[in-house]
Amino acid sequence: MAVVSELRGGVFSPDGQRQSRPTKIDFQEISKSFRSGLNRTTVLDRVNLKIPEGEFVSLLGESGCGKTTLLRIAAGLISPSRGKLAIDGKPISKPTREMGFVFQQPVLLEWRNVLENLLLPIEIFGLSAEEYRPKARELLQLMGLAHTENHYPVQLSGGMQQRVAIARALIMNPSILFMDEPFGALDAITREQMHTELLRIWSMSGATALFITHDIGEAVYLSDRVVVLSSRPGRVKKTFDIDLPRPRVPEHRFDDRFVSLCKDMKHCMTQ
Amino acid sequence: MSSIEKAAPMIVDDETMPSTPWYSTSLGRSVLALAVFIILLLLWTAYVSIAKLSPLVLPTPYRVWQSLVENTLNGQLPEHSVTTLTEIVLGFLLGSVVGIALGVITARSQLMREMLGPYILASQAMPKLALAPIMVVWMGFGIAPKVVITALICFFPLLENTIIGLTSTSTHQLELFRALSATGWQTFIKLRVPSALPVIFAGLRVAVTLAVVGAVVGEYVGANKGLGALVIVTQGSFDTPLMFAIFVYLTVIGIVLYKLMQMLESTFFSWRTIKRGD
Ligand SMILES: Nc1ncnc2c1ncn2[C@@H]1O[C@H](COP(=O)(O)OP(=O)(O)OP(=O)(O)O)[C@@H](O)[C@H]1O
Ligand SMILES: [Mg+2]
Repeated sequence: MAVVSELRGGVFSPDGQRQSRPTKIDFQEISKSFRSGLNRTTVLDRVNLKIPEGEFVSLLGESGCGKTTLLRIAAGLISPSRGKLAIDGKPISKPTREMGFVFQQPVLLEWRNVLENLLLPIEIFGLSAEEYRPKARELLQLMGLAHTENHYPVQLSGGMQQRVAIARALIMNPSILFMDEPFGALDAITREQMHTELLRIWSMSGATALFITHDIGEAVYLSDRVVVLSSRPGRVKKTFDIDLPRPRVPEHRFDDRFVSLCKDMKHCMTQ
Repeated sequence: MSSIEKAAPMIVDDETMPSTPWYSTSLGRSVLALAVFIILLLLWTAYVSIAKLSPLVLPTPYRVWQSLVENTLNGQLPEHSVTTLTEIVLGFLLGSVVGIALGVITARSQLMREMLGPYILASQAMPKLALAPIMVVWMGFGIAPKVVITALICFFPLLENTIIGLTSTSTHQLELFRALSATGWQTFIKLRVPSALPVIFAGLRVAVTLAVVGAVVGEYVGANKGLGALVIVTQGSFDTPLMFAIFVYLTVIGIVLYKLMQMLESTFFSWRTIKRGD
């Protein structure tokens, strides 16, 4: 598959070597508070987290605990109130072109059809849309949306829109992939298919992935590491290393190890 | 004029409307409209004959029709229409272009917004038609003062709608553009303008109907040509049937211009009229 071969940017190394990789995203004592009227609410409280290059890390936590806020800080979309954020060891103040984003909502442009929406990043980066059209079509195929390239967003279901948004994030071969509950709007079957596709693309690309979810099973299935956040204020409660072998296959979901990891996480979250 | 059309959903979902009632088909709609029209004409005729009104006060529809045909064939109504239409079109274009341009500048610059805001509000509150006499004093009895009044009337809906359209872009979409490191210009051209277009078009639709009012009232105040000038003449000569014939012309002009705007709009927004599910 041509997309896949093009995506082959980094090298996927076996589990053992992952620890020795350089740090890609480095959260150092990150705090964030928002002012609402006279009082300030602290959303994130001294979050420390190092994400090695090429690793798939999930943030898990209940609604409102600050997951989206942490992701927006990592991407340079907002700045932390205190603490430092570094990518590749350099402080970051705004998004860079090596990042791909999937937001919690699809955020498509309603006056562009699917293909044109997919090519938006290409246009903005000043590249030739013509050149990337075959790749855009291949990504649509991968997302099961091949028949919709001329449809407008109003004609798509919520889940289809979200898959367009995922394809849009992948079109530039990002070396960092930020995903904010990208599969929230999908049914269980499509969601599992998307897990498979996402892992395939990710493992071929060597990208570092920061993935947000509040679905424990999804976090365990996809990730090398799951970071559980506490609520109000958001802190790193516990980090779980997921030592299931890769490539992951659906049968892993019935493994004892998988189930016990899920149980531990569930226990950690409700504690 | 078309609040019903505006309120109608843009996306027609065939699945939820398995059977269209007869009065919603295009033939049914025409039949309905024609029936209402005939009833109104009959009521009008009956009222005139029962109340024994003089044609000077209220002519019958038939008398109006006679006058309409006669004055169309002798070229009088078409000739004056050309003058009025010229004023409408020039005034509409001038007012819209200046309104949109100033709207863009104001929307792009906070400083301009703060500086001009109060004056825009004040000039909006001022009744523009009240300026017609002074325009005639300044510019005489030709088409110039009517064009300026029409332009003034068209200017404000476009200024306001352009500012609103350009500054109410979805924050999610703005964040997407920030995430893609889009430049200010790219964000403007690829995001703010396309998402403002429906609002700007709504302003154009309002302006085009106001433009007819502007040109005609301008002619009332002082003109030697144009449908408005002709109304004043018929008032003096007690030719009420012709006056009604002029009203018919003005209504038709208004409707045609409005429909033209709608057609232009629907070519821009084909995506809004797309049907779901095929
Ligand atoms: N711009 C803002 N101004 C004020 N408060 C904010 C802002 N953004 C987020 N918050 C607050 O921060 C808290 C965390 O928000 P955030 O969106 O990060 O939650 P989340 O973990 O992503 O939740 P969910 O799972 O529901 O998406 C919330 O209480 C929210 O009200
Ligand atoms: Mg969120």
